Amino acid sequence: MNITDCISSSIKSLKSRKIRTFLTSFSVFVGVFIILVLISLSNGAQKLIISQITSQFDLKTIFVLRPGSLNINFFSTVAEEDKEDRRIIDLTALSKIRSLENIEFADPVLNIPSRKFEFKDQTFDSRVVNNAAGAGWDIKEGDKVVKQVYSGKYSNLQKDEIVLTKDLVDAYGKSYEDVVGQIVVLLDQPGIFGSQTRPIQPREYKVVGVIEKIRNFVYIISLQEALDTLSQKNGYQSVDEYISTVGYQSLYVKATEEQHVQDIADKIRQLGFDVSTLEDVLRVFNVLFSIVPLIFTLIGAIAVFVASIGIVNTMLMSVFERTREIGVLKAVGARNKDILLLFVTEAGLIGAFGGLAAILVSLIVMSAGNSIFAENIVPRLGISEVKSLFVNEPSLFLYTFLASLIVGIFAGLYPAIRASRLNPVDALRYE
Amino acid sequence: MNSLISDDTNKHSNEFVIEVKNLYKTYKLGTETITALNGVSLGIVPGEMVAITGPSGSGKSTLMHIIGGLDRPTSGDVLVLGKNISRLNQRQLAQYRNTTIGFVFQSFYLQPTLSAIDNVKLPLVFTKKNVDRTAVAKDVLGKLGLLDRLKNKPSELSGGQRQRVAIARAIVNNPKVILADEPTGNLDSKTGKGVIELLRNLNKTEGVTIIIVTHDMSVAELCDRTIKMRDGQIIND
Repeated sequence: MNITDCISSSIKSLKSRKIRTFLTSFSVFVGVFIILVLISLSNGAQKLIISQITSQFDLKTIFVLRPGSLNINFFSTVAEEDKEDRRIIDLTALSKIRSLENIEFADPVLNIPSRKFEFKDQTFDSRVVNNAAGAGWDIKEGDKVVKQVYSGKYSNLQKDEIVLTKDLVDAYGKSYEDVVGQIVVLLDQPGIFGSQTRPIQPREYKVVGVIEKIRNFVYIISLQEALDTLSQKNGYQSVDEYISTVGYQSLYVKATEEQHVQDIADKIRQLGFDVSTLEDVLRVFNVLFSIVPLIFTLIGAIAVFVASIGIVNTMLMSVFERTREIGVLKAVGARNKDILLLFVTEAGLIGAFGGLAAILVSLIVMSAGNSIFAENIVPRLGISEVKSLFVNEPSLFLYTFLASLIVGIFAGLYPAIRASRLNPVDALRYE
Repeated sequence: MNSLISDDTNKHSNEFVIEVKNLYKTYKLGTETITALNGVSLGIVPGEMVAITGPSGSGKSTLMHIIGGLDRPTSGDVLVLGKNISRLNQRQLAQYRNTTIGFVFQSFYLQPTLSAIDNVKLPLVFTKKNVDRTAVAKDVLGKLGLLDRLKNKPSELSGGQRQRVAIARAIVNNPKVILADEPTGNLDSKTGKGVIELLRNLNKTEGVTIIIVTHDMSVAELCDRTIKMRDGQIIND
């Protein structure tokens, strides 16, 4: 008996019991469908998150952090020296780092903690934003730090100039052009617990531009202005005293080439600072995203295993019902192997049908999901690089199809062996 | 015809298409041991049409099953065309059944989901050589007057037609021997007679050896020879 006969006979046999075949295939369908959708989802989520991360960082960026700073430590690698002997990012440190090889630039960044934000012109808008967190950062035009400018300028800030981010302006519902030229006031946030800072006068700034959000800062002012504010607030006599005592919160360092990043990071760590690179952040996510698909596969595999039990059951019933038929087949010359092949093929086809159906339906569902995602969610999140929620490679479909075929074949093995071993005489006599 | 006792059979070995030597078949039914065949010996010459008769339980069906390679003897030998089939393994027996034997059953045993022509093609599926199955099956069904019924399923055929399809299936691979177990049992006397005449025809024109197990004496009368069995033994040949 050749394979064509086997397959056509199996198909005929499955067709004659459409409902039973459908139900058994359906259970395989469920398991395979789950695997396909969940794995594609985790791929998509991975790409999404990573694209978000890389839009904040890029591969050449290094954040130098004051050891023990507020950043979550598992996103950075800790400096080599003892906790006690931790350095501050002062001018010496800054020049040391700037003098390292392959550094394109190193910008000091000062975090300005929560202030109250409002427009001076109350007729323009009287609403107040609390907990506005900004930075003192002299961003230069050619640095490519700012990816999107919505209006005005952001570099060469004067002491009384401020750059706002898109989210803040959107929250006010103002246009990016209207807001340029407005005066804003930054005030002390009332009632900060355990604050050891002194109260200072409200300060006014003129809005000179609107850019996309950088890191988690809502506004940017000049470094000098930030230094003034912070040293006053913390009771230092001068800016120099502040820098040499407290130092900068972080440095935004750019390497000239991607390949130098690790090297530079190591050297900075040796200087006694914490370093966070894209790699560090991605490392955590990569670990996460190597586990998540495995868990999903496991879940799906369990579902498929349960489905395979259904196949075993269906095939046992089939063998039972066709006992006489098996006897006749043997009487006309079918060998045990032929009978085995017939039933194993049937079981394999049940698995394959389920798998194929799951592939087709999941393709439809996922592409629909992706369009809904692209139309409704992407604009809201403001991500432009990633368009799909479900991401997969063709090989995923190939493997799951093969797996469903193989699962079917193995499930059919036991019933098929029983069928092949039936005694022809007994089988023929079977009522 | 030759009455068969051990020493005679050796001399005439080459003559027989089927030779049964001292066949025993016992099997267990729960705690009891049943003896279906209790020392059966016979010889059948090529081209014979033989009836095996006897009451139920006489062992005639068991004998036919063993000759047809569907079952194995407990002891004894069965030689068909000189080959000892009681020594064959499962695979060889299957081939033997495929090419040397054609079965016809009382209840026809056609595949209800297959058409007449597909039923007839069945033995050819398991044959090693490459043949045009449709052509061969069509040819055989034509000889049996069923050309207008090729695509019909068994449920669409009369009893007589079904048995003729079964016979077509039995002869599609040109077997040397046809084994028919109560072929007229489910047919009325007129149709049954027609079937036996058909077999008779095959026997005369093609020279196929035919063994018919039956309890119908009118069927036996149409055969060359009748072997009577009772309680697992031949009592009259």
